[in-house]
Amino acid sequence: MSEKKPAAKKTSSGSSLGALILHHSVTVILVIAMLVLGVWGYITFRKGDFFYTPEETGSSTQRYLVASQLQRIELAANAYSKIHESPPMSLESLVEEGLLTQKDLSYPSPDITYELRLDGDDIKVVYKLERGGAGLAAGGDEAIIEPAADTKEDDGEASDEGGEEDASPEEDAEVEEEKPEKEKKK
Amino acid sequence: MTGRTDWTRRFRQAWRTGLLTLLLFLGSALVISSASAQTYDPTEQPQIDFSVEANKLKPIPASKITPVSLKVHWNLYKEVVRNGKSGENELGALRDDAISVGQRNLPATTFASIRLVQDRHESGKLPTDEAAQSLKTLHSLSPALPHPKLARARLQLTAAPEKIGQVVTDMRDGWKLAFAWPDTRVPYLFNIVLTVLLATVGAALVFLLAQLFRYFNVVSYDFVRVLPAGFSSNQGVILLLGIIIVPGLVLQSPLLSALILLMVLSIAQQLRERVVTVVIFGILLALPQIESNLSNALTWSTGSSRELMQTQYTVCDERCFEELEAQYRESRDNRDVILDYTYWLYIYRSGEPGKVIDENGLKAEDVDAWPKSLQGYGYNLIGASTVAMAQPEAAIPLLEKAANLVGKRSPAPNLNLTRAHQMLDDQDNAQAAIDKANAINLEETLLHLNLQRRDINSWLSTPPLPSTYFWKRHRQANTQQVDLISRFWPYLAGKNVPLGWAMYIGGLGLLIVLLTAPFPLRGTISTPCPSCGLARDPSDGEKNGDHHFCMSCYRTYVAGASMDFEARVTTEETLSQRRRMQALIRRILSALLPGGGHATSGYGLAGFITSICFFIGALLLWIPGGIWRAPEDLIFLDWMGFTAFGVVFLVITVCIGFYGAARDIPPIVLKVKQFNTSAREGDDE
Repeated sequence: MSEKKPAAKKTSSGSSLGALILHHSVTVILVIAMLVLGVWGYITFRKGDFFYTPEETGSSTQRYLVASQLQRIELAANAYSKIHESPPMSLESLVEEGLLTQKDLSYPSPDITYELRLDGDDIKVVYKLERGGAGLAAGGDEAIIEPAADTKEDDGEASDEGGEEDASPEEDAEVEEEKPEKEKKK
Repeated sequence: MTGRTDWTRRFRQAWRTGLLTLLLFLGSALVISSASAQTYDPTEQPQIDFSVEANKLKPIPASKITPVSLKVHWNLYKEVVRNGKSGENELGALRDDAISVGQRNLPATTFASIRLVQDRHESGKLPTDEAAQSLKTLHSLSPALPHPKLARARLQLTAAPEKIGQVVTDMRDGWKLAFAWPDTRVPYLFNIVLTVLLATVGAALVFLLAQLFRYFNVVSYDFVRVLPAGFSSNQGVILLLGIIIVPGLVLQSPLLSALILLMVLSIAQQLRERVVTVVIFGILLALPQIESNLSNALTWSTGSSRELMQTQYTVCDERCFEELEAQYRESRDNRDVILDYTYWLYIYRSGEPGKVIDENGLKAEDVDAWPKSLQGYGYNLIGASTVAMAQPEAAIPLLEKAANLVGKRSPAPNLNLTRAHQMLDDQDNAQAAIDKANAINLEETLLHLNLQRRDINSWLSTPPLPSTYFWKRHRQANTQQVDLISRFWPYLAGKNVPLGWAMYIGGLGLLIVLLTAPFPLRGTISTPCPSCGLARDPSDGEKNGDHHFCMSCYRTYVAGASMDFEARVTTEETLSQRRRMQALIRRILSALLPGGGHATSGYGLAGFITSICFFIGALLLWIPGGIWRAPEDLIFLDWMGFTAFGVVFLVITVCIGFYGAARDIPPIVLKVKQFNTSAREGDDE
């Protein structure tokens, strides 16, 4: 603050008295208000944190990023098949071939990984929720936490359930992408 | 204060030099690219075949190409590349076969080829020229994809930097294609918007911090001025703090308090700082709409419009057609023009043009009901099918109508007109149609006329719809809302302040900024003293001859020599300490958060832009390809070279920050209210 106070006005003794009363009244009110605020704050934030941390739920954003990544991996698998005349045996092959990076296999978060499933000429790419990962439900508010406690045992089956749980029929395709034989003549 | 003048002059000189360098770079890039741009050469025009064989008036057959044929060409290409050649001819043959079966872009083959060329080139078994040639031909295999062009630019930039002209041209073409092809444009724009938004949030926090240092004491001082007599300075400050903190505390919203703080500080801001505040509140106002637009973008990759686009532009197998047919049957009652066109285009390409024009097919009356911008494509499809069924006389009026409606967007109707006139052995009209097609798109016309096969897809032209229509359809049809901003909003705003409030808070902020704009213009509000940073009362001008210093600084530094020591309000030592503290804050902010020092000194807009560029640079380096990896971006995460922009942004802004930290950024000298018109304009030099 500046050293200089706002210009003082010449006031009568009556108004000086009024100002003095106002000053002390304001001081009392401020002290009381601070006390009330302090007590309220103590009661309110005694158990909880002031900074709000939303419950970790599935994100619809993540869901679409995963869907896009499935298309990406599918394209990479197709490109691999073009180069080698045979489908890739694992996703690591796509990384070794330089079509994907290692980070692509756990994108958009480390909780989500992908798996390649071969069924003859058909290639399926599915995502897996690692332990503790949140479900990929559409609609942030209604998203359900999928701890994926049994994903390890089920070896990916839980991931499919997690994805399909809230998905519309159209969105099911995003969860488990079957590899269409691209560039194959009708 | 002479340092200010020197620094400003140097800053301006450096700015001009930078601008000149940028203009030179852009100018040379334009010259190089225009020099290598395609020019019209009449000798390149292929001659139309008017031989008896070519003009036979008989139905045009479907393609006889089989998948095995495509595979043979591809394997030949791989073999040739592995032997150190470009495989130009093999790729050309593959492309012709693909066109013949109605496949105009082959993404998987394209990426396989790029990887193959890259691998052979890196291992030294494919010369740079051959590799570049291979990638050049690859563009004609998938003309909609930007990756062959971008891959060629990357290759030549590292292996043949002397061909900088070609690199610039390829980069330019690649960028154009990337922002035309929805599968890359939508993710890239999404990433750009999100990066700028995040950078703006970071810059806004830096700006707020800087404005807090610069204006809080000024606002507090003026707040006490307007309070009734009896309020002390301390009481005024406590009240002001209460106004700022209590709403945020009660609603558990740190963001709310921060925004109230900005509203309060904006009352004392000068115009250039108000511009920044308007931007911040404007973005807040638009936040729900931004989330809606980002939702539209993110849902693109799984939407039906993208599937239709892929069907028209790339490959559609049996499974894809089954889905398409099911969609078509379902939507018979609800007219979906793009779906209808996709369906009939597939029927045509698969070798059944007769179905397109039979009694259950696509009729001209149906097309009449389409939006005018799409009618031309519908008439062209019917016209091409009619020509294919050896009825050129019936096709010509339809194709002429199509040519008028499509205009310069595609030469296809004129190419089909050429064929129709060719069938009737009308050489003059055929030549006239081909001239029109040439004028619309020479490259496409040349490619079409050079195709040797006489099947419906090679002999006639039925283009996919422009990609923008698919995006428009997606925006209209999309009902999915993605929790992109609303998911992270509660971390800043708490659970009691929903995203919907952003509009009202932003609107209120804008209102305050606009309504209080006359204050600094009329000089009715205090200004920060350029010397000590404390508030300078507007009425001080009456006593200090309109000098821009506050009375303490004026009496101590300016008039101090002529006054008794006792007459000075503050000691030189105290004021020096304040000055040093102000300089220290500016230097620290400049060093830690580029742009913060500028905003503290009063260069609010320059500081804000510097901060945004700093955060953009940092984000581009942190997440090279952006948050959303485009579904067709294989091999590299950053095809467009955004990382290079990130490095440039970061280096420039960090240099600005360190320069400001080393040299200090003296506060801007503000115009103050004039009481003594005869007095010299405030100048500290």
